[in-house]
Formats: sequence, structure tokens, C-alpha cells
Amino acid sequence: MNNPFAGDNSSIQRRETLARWLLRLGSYVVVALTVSIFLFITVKGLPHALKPGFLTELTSTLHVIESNDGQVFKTNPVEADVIKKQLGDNFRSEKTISYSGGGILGPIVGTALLVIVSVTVALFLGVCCAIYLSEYAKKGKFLETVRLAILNLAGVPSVVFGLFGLGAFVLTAPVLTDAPADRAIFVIPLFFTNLSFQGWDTCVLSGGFTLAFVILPVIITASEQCLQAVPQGFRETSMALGATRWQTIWRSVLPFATPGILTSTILGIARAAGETAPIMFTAALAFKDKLPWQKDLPPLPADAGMFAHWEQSVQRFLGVFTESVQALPYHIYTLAAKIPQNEYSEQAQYGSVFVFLILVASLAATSIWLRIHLRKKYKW
Amino acid sequence: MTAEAPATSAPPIISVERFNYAYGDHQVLFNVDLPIRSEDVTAFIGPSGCGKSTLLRSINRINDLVDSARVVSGTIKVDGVDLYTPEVDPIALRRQIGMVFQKYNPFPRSIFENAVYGLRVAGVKDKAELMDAAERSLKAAALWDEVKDRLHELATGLSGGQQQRLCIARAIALQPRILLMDEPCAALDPIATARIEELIHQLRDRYTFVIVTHNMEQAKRIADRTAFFYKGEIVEVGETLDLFTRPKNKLTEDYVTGRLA
Repeated sequence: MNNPFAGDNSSIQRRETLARWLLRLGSYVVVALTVSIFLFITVKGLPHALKPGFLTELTSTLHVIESNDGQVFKTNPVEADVIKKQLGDNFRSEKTISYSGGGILGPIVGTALLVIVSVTVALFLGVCCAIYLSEYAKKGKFLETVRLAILNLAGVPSVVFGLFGLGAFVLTAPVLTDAPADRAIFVIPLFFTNLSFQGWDTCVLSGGFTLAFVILPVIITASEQCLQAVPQGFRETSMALGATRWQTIWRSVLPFATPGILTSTILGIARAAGETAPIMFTAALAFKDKLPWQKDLPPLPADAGMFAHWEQSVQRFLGVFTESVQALPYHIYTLAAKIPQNEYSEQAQYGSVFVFLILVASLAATSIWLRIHLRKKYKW
Repeated sequence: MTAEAPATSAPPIISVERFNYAYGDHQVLFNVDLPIRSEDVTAFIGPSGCGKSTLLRSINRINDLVDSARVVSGTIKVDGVDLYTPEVDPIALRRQIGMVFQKYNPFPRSIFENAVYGLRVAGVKDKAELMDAAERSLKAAALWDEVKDRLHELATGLSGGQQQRLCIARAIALQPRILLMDEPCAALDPIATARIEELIHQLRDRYTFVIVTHNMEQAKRIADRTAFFYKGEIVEVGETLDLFTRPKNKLTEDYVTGRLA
């Protein structure tokens, strides 16, 4: 029977098929790549990451001792001496691998501190800026210039931010001090102390501020979009009921933009946690045998009052931010590029990478969960 | 163009005089003269883009929010006070002139919080006073019986008509004397529309209503006086019945008989 609706195998149809397969192929390649990265890291890193103490111990030098009867001991510097003594004549060889022993508690804590500082600074500056741009600024040349500047900021390579941080925060930023350092660029005497532009040194604060500038464009742009997504009707209604602009923003715009701002902030956290270059010159150390709050403070006299104890706690807390720290991305960089490679450094390296990946993935998951959850609450 | 003298000797509550208004270089209102009496429900009719909404939104200066909007010349006076002088605080003005918008838009908060929003931003903190105000305004908006048991549920869960009545309640909670309504029924079904119109009838003695509407039947049903706008000018203004049955102007006649798009 004659079928008038039969497809003719024309070139149009062949192109349609071709296009569909090409697009499908592209998507599959992306999925395959993502999955293979995760698998690769998991296979290589999971066994090491599960070792006892990997998440709870500080980094140390790994000592690998071999005995004549073929035993292999992997241990830390202190125990290495004990084992060597026990082995006596049985001792054959000892290898030391820097930064590859112990765990990665130091880098995890350091990264957490850097993220806390950078997100606090970036969120405050970014949301202020976004609110001004979205709610107060009049459309015009100035606004376009500011937007362009923000976009450009997003395109600046992160190592440039690192050098900027070195110049601005490590070497120049002002501190209050009674005894200004010689390297201070200039000193403004105040009545009771001096404002000395001598920099904050390499520390959490310098690194956090530098990272804040890295994620600032993301936070500003995303926050502004979230503010713009709040219906204009809310603003008009609120103003028509006699609210000021700030009351309107505070009661009827910001609450409904918060889910989106939080989501973008979490993605900013993932970005800040992952950057190496900005913290290289501003905050990160390859090795540190103490946590930032384990600092030797002068012992208090036995009769010290509550106030002295309280003051020392505050000092200890603030001191955390003026310490330099280890950080996960810099730790991985050190293990992968700064020390001679062998199977032991590789294990430590992939173990850290695996933990890092899980941290970032869980941040992303939190962000998605938060968005779904808050969207449900604030629907209009 | 043609401004009738008010029929009574009492001065109009709102008096628009030689009012010219523009968005940037684009002028949208030309020499508008319009006295609005306090006891009347006044309707603005006219095709889209004729400037009726702009005039309405100029009365509580909510149009100040539009970046390029500006008064070219002329005045709007309420109780004889020129609204566009530096001495007038738009915030204080808006507390006394309520507004209801076309798209019912309660905030995604509780019904109670919506009803007392104006009082909250005015700094009222006393719980009992807020509760009183909520009850009073919800009753006035004929919504109390429907929502009294769920005041703390989300307002966005109400039906469209209920949401719009909540918006009216929210506006009258501040006890304004004037209520501006910008196509209050445009997004509602006929039954909800009828309830809003009924509400306007009930409230007309307490508030001066100015209503923009696209629905000429609605203007006939609710308005004492009607102003017909065309291309930024008032073509004709008069008693509603007169304007619809014996229009003086050819344009008005064409519009009310549906011959003018």
C-alpha cells in the first residue's frame, strides 16, 4: 500500500540525526569526565584518607624504616628513633618524606579559618554593594561603569590577587600599635597609640581578605540578581504603605532574596576554599606543627583574677587570626610539586585531594538543599 | 482640557492643576486639571497608555520610584498643600493616602503581618494595638470572618479575591482618607470583582476613592464621577451617568460606545 507519510531518507533528516548524536555525545563526554575524575580520586585517595588519624592529626614528616628481615615501619620522627633502637642490628634503611606523615588537621583548620574570614568580609561588602546597585543607584553611566568594574574583577587571574594581597594586606594594611615597626610606610600618631601602616604579615586575616576579593564579584553579581528577582510590586506596596526605602529593603526585599544570596555564598565558599595562588604569599605555610590557637602565652600568675583569664582567652581567640596557617590547596600543591615524588608522598597527596573533594562536594550539596528548602518557604 | 467646577462649594480634597508629567523626555500628562471631591468615588477611564495610571500614581508620589519620572509643571494639591514641594515628606504623605495595585500582591508573610505592615513600619510595637488594627481593617475589608482563625498562615495561600481584599485591609489599616486603586479587579474573576465593588460601596462614606479601571461597566457601577483620559489629556470629566449617556465630546462618545480602540 502506498504510504504518503513515509520518511524519505533525505539530507535534512540525516543532518537532524547527526546533530542529535553530536549533542548527545558532548553531554555524555562531560558526564563521563566528571565521573572518572571522582572515581580516580576516590580509588587513589580513599584508602589513605580512611587511615586512622588522617583527619585528626597534624602534618609531620613520614619516616619509613626497613629492617633486614623485610619488615617496613611507617611512622613519625619521634617513634622512628624508638623503632631504630629496638631493631638494633636488624635495621637496614630509613627514608624520610617531608609533609607526608600524620594527618591533615592543620590544613583543614587553616582552610576553615580562611573561609570564615573571607566569606564574612565578602558577604558584608558584597551584599552592601549589591543592595546599593540594585535598590539605590540610579540607572546611568556610573552604574554601568561599576558593573563593568565588577565583571573585570571576576576576570583577574588569582595570582594577581595574591600579589595584591601581599602588597596591600601583608605589607601595608594599618594596625594599631604602641611600637610601630621600622618597615611601616607611614605612621599616624593617635593620642594613646599609633596607627601604623606596616601590614598584617602573612596570616589568616591577610589571606582571608585577599580571598574575599577573589569571591567578591561572584557574590555581588549573584546577590544583585537575587534582589532583582524580588517582584517590583513588593517594593511599591511597601513604599505605598509609608515605609522608607531601607524599611522596604529590610522587610520586603532582603528576606526574599536571602535564599539566593546564601546559595551563591556557599558556591563562593567552595571557590575560596579551593584557591591556591591568593594565599601563597598572604597566609599559607607548607608546614606548621601547631594549630593556630596553640600558642605559648606567658603563664598567668597564680593569683590572676577572672578578668586576666578572660583577657587571655580573648587574646588567644584573636591570635588565631594573626597566625599563618596550612591550607588544603596549598598542602596539595606542596606535596605534588615541592618535594621529591614517591609512593608515600603520592598517597598523602591523593588522600588530601579526596578529603578536599568531599568537602567541596558537600558544600555544593548544602547549597542545593538550602535553595530547595528556602524556596519552598518563600514562594510568591 | 475641560475642568468642571465642583458642584458643591466645598473645596475639593484633591486638586490637580495644570499638571504636566514626563518620563525622561517623554511627556505623558499634558495640562491636566481635575478637582476630586471627598465624597465622590472617581473613576479614571481611557485606553492603555493614556496616562490615567501615571496621574493616580502621582497622587501618592509612588511614581517617584521610577528613575526618570518628573513633574514638568503644575501641581497636585491635597487639602490645599502642594505635594511636590520639598516640605512634603513622601513617606508621611503615603501613610495618609492608601493604594491598592492591579496585581494583588500580599507579602509572602502571615495574613496578620500583611494587615499590620503599615503600622509596623510606622513604629507601632504594641501587640494589642496591632491586633486591634488588624481586626478593624480586616473587618472593614469584609475578610475577617474568612481569616480570623488563620491569621498566622501565609497570605499567599488565600484565593485571589481574598488576597486583594487583604491588600485593601492593609491599606486602610493606616486609616487614610484617600484610597487610590489601580485597576483593582483586573486580575480577578467576576465573583471576586463583585465582592470588591460591594466593598467599595460599603466604604465609600469613609474614604475618598480614586479608581483606575479598564472596565467601563465597572465605572458605571461604582463611580459618581468619571474622567476620560486620552493621550495624556483629560478629554471629559463629569457625572458618570452623563459621561456615558450624554457625552459632550466626540472622542468620549466613540470610546464609551466601543468605537475607539
